[in-house]
Amino acid sequence: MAYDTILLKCSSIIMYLFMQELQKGIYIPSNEGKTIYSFITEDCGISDGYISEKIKTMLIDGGPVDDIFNTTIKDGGVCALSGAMPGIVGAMMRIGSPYAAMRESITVKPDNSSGSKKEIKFGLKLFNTILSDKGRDFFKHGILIEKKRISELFERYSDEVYSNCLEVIINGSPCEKQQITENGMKSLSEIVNLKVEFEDEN
Amino acid sequence: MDKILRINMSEKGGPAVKEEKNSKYAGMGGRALTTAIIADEVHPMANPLGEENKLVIAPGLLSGSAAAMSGRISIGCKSPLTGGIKEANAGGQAAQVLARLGYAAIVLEGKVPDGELYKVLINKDGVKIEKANEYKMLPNYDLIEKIKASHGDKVACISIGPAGEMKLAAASIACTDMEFRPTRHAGRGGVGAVMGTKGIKVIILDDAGLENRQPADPEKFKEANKKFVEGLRTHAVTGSGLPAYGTNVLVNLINEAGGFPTNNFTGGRFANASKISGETIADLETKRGANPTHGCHRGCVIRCSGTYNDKNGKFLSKQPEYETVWAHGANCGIDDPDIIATLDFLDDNYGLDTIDMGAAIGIAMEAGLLKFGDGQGAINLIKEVGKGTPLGRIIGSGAAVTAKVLGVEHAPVVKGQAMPAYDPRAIQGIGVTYATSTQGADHTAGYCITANVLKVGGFVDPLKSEGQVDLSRNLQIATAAIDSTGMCLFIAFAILDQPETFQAMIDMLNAFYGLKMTADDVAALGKKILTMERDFNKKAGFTALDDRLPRYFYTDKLPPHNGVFTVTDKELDSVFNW
Repeated sequence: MAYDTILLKCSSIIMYLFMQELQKGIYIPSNEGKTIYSFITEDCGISDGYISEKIKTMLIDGGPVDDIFNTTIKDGGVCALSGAMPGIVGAMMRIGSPYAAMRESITVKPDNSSGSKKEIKFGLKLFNTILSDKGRDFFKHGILIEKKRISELFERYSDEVYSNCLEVIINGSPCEKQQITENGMKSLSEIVNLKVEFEDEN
Repeated sequence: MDKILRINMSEKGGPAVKEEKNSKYAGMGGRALTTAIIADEVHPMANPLGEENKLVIAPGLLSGSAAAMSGRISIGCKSPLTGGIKEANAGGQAAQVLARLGYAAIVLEGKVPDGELYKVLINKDGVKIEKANEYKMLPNYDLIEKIKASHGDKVACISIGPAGEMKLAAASIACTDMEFRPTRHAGRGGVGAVMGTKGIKVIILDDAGLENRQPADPEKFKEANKKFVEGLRTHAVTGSGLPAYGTNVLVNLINEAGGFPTNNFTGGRFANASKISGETIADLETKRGANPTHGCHRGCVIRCSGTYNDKNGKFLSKQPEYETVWAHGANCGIDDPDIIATLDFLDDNYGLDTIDMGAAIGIAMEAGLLKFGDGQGAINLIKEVGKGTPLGRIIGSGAAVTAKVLGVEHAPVVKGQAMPAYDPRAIQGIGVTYATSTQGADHTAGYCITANVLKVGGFVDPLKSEGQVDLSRNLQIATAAIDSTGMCLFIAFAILDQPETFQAMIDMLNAFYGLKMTADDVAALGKKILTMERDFNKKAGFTALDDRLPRYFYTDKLPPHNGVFTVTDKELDSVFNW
């Protein structure tokens, strides 16, 4: 699948605005039938060590996952990654929680089906400590997102964004910031590959 | 902490103060003590707003000592909201100061003659009660400013706002925090209304000239406290998640799980959750020069609280908790953090429970009084409560009353108390606790996550789907016990995963009192408390039929999972079988 690419070079002052998009959810290219573990390590570039140390809660389509090695991904699905959460319900939601029985009705059951292996874009949401640890990396390497959401962000936070977005490069060519509107991006694919470099990055 | 202070407001000639040695309830603190006194001394059929009811204010067993996290205060009575026994607890400075003053409890008794209002001052020299009619209908923040002018900001206050004076069933009791703001509330069950019937506007606690309470074995205590703190600091939840984002970090996760009640419990997901999430609000607080990492009392090492500034960088409220962000946010369709923080401030100022207020406004929205998402309308409704208009008094009486008056079928309440921020159709296990808790729908009743550490009621196999009833039982037992220590419930996360941290907490208690308690003793204490509470409620007229969720939770499907509550009545009735 081919996507147009938008590269933004911004001051890190407005990084928090982009982080909200990761909470809402973005897409990562993958293949149907992959295990959620493989998706995270291979397609998201998150290490095995980080998963075992920091990712304590994982939901697929709203259901908590306990077996990350035997649960597979499907087209149209969404995975959410979170650290360990407070509260009894936070504890229930953890991977392999001792309180799993209390949310059993929504738990994702392991599924060993290998699936079609077809190319898909799988949804991903990052929360709390995972967001603060890894959010920046995702923007550096690029995420798939509806172009409409980028223009909405520019429109809603125009003052902050216009004064802190330093460069806009679309498909390798420098552009005016004003081009990031619904009209200005008419010719681009509906889903774009968005990269954001924040100014204090090397 | 070997004294009980009794203040009888019915005495001819004005309030009568009696100080007695705590021999009858020795060894009890916090919820254990409030429950024991209410069960022992209040007639179960007493009218909660009448002369026979009592209000018991008790610090925990370790409050006033150097023990970390020991700043919770328990407030108990017969609840005007549920009609059953009630314990509501709060953070802030009051528990530590009251314990240093040597009191295991303050018991407010009788009923003040209509129209009179008093303030109580307690310091090392004794107890003074004075008429305080000049404080009538003052909101909490205004009251505390006046106290600051007369007593300075080193004292701690326990107060009620206009809602308590009007004896509204959702009235809270405020405790001041480290900055001497009335931000920490014993919110649930209308405890503020009972304080209102006693005619006491504020209790001013001054521990000037007093030291921390000293342990029986200082060395062992110091060692145990050190291990306990280390455990909290190294745990992912208490060491990083909570300090960074506060309890509101749960918004995204519970929303994603489809258990985030939206628009008066008609949906499990709020489309704009990311706008009000802990992550977004913490970023906003930092940007506006507020502090997202802040303790609510001295000795807190988790620091899950914070401050929230308005657009001009001026203090607007404390950092709203998860339950508040949900109640005034998703449950009312409101996605503006500034509106939510304003509602949080108004709740604190008038002295109202944010959960019941958010639920009542959600019901008013379903009834068509205002639209879901109408933030200014929600602010106006809470202001009506502060003014004491007829509509305001209805809203201030909580979700159950509001639903009845406005003719709304969907009242998310158990025993008259509004459900917190987890929909039991998505998360069935929490529904077991909501249904069976002695307190009415209450997430903190089964909060303490030590079930398999304590192994009370048998070990539950995490790999089996059965067991949510057993888990709820164990959680409620453990929570009742921890509520008696004065420890913040958030220690639960560390003691779940780290048995050595749990042991350190028991070692602290043993070193402080010279005891040899084991985990079994902790479980026995929890069972004893729950047994007293169940017995009281039974005598007050509660039956098994009160241990049920509203019928619509069994029939109306909740999107996105489209589930209903499926735990059977038989299972619910087995929760307290021991």
